[in-house]
Amino acid sequence: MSLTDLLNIGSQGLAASQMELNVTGQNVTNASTTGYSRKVVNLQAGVRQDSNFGQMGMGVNVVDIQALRDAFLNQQMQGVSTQQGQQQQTDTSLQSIQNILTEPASSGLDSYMDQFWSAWQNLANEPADPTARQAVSDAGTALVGRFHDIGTQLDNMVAQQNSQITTVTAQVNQLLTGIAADNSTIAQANVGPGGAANDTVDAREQKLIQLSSLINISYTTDAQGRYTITSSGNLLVSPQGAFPLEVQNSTATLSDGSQTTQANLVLSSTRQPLVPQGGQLAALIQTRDQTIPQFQSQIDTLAKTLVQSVNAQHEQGYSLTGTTGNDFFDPAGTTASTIGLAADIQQSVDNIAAAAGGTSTSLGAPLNLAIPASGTPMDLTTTNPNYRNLSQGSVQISTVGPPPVQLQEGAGKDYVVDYQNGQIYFNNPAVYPPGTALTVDFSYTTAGYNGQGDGNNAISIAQLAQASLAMPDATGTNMSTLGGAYASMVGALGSAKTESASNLATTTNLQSYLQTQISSVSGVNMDEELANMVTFQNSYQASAKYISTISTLMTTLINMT
Amino acid sequence: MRITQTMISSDVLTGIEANGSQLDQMMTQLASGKAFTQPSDDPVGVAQYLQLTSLSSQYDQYYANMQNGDSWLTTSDSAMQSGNNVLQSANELAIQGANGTYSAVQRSEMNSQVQSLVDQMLSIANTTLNGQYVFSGTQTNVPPFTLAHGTDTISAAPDANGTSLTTVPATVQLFDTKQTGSNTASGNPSAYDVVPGTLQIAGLAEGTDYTVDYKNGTVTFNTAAAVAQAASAGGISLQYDWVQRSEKDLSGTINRQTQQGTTAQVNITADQAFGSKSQTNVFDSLIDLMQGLHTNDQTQIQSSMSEVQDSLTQLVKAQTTAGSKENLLQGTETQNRASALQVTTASTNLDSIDYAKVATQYQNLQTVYQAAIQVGAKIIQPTLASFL
Repeated sequence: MSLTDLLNIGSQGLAASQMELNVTGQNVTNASTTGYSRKVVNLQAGVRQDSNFGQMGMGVNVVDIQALRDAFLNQQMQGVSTQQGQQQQTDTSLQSIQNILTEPASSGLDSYMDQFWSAWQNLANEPADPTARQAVSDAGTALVGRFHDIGTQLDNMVAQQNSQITTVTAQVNQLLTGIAADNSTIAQANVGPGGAANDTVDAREQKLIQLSSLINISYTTDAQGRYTITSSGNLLVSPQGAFPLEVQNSTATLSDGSQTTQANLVLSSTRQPLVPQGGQLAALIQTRDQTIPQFQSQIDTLAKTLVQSVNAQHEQGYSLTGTTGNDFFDPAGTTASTIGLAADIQQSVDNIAAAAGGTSTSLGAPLNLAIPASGTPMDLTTTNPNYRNLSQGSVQISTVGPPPVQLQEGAGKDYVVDYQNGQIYFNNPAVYPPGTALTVDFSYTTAGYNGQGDGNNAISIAQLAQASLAMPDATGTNMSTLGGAYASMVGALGSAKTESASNLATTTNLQSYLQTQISSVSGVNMDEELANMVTFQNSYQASAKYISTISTLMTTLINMT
Repeated sequence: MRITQTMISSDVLTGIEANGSQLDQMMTQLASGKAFTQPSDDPVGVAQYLQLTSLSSQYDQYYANMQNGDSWLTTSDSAMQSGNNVLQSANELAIQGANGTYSAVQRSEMNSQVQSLVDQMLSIANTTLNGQYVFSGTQTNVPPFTLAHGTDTISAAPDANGTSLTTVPATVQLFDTKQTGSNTASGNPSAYDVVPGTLQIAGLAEGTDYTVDYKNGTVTFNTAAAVAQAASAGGISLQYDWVQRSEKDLSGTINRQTQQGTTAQVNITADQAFGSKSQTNVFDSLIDLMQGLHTNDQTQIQSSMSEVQDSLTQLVKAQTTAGSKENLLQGTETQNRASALQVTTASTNLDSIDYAKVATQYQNLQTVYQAAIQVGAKIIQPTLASFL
């Protein structure tokens, strides 16, 4: 035991305190670094074996610098991140769809449908008024425009999902490569004693959490502290390196018939497709393949039903010019993106079939006709094609006179009538030879256009607003109006959004609870560090004092001897 | 549990953010007055609200339909009331004319009065609303009755209508040769309801050489002078005015939707108000009366009197129909307004916020928010460093 040994003890004390102050400084400065775990210096008393006294103190040794973290909490955090990533994306997507529908507002589809039906009612009130006709066409155009907006925006959203999948995949690959690099750094550090790759472990933990929020993963640790990461059984990172994902673009068809690129994931190692089961990627793919198509198909069905039911009724009516069988909507456009007004309607609003026409009995003004050559009947339809379907017993025939003589109807008498075809056969050539001038009076039934004041078909079309046309039950009977079907679709969307928001809130709460837990274990407490600092400062000062004392001892010894 | 600075600041922040987002939601509600601005605010409420607004717009539309129909009925009704007055005047003139104390000159005076009644009746029957003939059924651009100026020529040889005059007495149907392209093959409708006084034949005297059945548009020639004139170059040339009824179908119904699944007819057809072509219509009656006054024939006046009264009865019946339609419409309007109010109230209850409640909540929340910020600021600040 020499004085030099005593000096050694003192210098070890200084070194230990310096090391402690070093770590404290690192802790304090990284107090707000994400993912940083606080470090502590573990000290051990140095001993030597003395032959007389057994163990004797030999100063202090720094054993290691330990990072304080709880592996179980970190694992929980990683699981929650996957949920949170997925739910966050789902919530965002549903919010986007809500924004696309813009309900409840005067710019919503519901309001445009109301205006469309109202326009038909107004047309029924003023069937000949060009303004009312134009208003129906305008309301139709506005409704069609709203459908297009929704259809196009949903299609755009699909494209956005695809481009986001590509972006997120790039992020995943970056993280995979980063983790693989960290793996090798940690393994190298672990070879020596002490295992001092604390900060790299922190960084890798942080990357793992980020990766979890993008895609579902599970991981194992090997003897050298390296992670092996798999997603649904597919190897992403092995101790040897990363196996990045690849985006493969295939072509898909959109609702309006146009082609779009669809991004799918494959493993670069095996070329096998990978379908993420969690995280942001899973939500993006689910939104693209299920959520959006579901709303798209509901909107498309709505458009299709509207087109078909309005057209069916419109075809039965008569336009202002008396034509019938016309469509109001283009029958080819049966999706939200392709719905459109028929070319006839766009060309002229006179083609809107407001009139129902009808079967009506008219009086043919007395005709002045001569008896035709024997054997041929007098054909009233040559005068006017409508002169058929004559009313039973309404045919009155007399000579022109003077004086007019009434002819007798019936078999064996002067004439017989084919009422259905509007033909009259003369049977008494002895008294009434061919060429005899006659006055023929009759009434006839017509089916067809009956004047511009007829708005009855417009009423029938407007009444489609209250007709059960949508949402068939198990037996195929429609249970809801178009407006009702749309309202329940909006309600379902609202419920889904509410549910996703509440799921997200729960997960976010859980996440922040876990973060608190982790922070409690790994976070830096300033007060603690500062108190430690004072302690370390004091022990440094004490060690210094000790060395100075030993130095005095040595001086004494040297001077006295 | 170890507490760290990050925990404190993140907890404080989480709390303040939660308060802030609630404040934001309430601000939106207070500013818009709406309980929801997107479906997720209240999915069931929004679905109901959409249905209710549709229903409310339907009720408003039905109301507008009924108002429109109302004006249609009111116009018809007041036209028919004028028609009623015209027929009553005609009836009074008929009673006077049938009285033996009046002279031929006085009757001729009365005739010109009836003539003006016919003119009035024509304008009544052709009443329009926004340019639409109200008594024309669905043929609203067609006047139901028009005063046509007709011409016809009667000669010894049969003409295009097959008419000829070679022997007397003979009854000849008048055709309007000016009107072509109507329903008839040879183009000329037979004229009826010829206005007495407008038919004069040069060189022949009414009553002796010929007599006229004005209502049916037939002329009966009685003398050799008529035959001679028919045989002469140019024949017997006739000019006259007659009341032509449109050959179109005027029986179409004009409807307004008044309730879900219910429509109401809002027009009175010419047939209902003025009599159909097969019946003795209002102009037949007036022409018959005029004929009696024109030819100073008391018996004819007597017989026309009942026709005028029949026409009046018919018109009153149509007026009653219009009246009861109006009543029904007004009843439905009242009912409609009550239902619309209910729907509007229901939808307002759904989508409007209770201002007092939300404003109070907002005040409370604001207090909490401010407290959180102030206290948070004080908690985050101090560390041991401040005191060393």
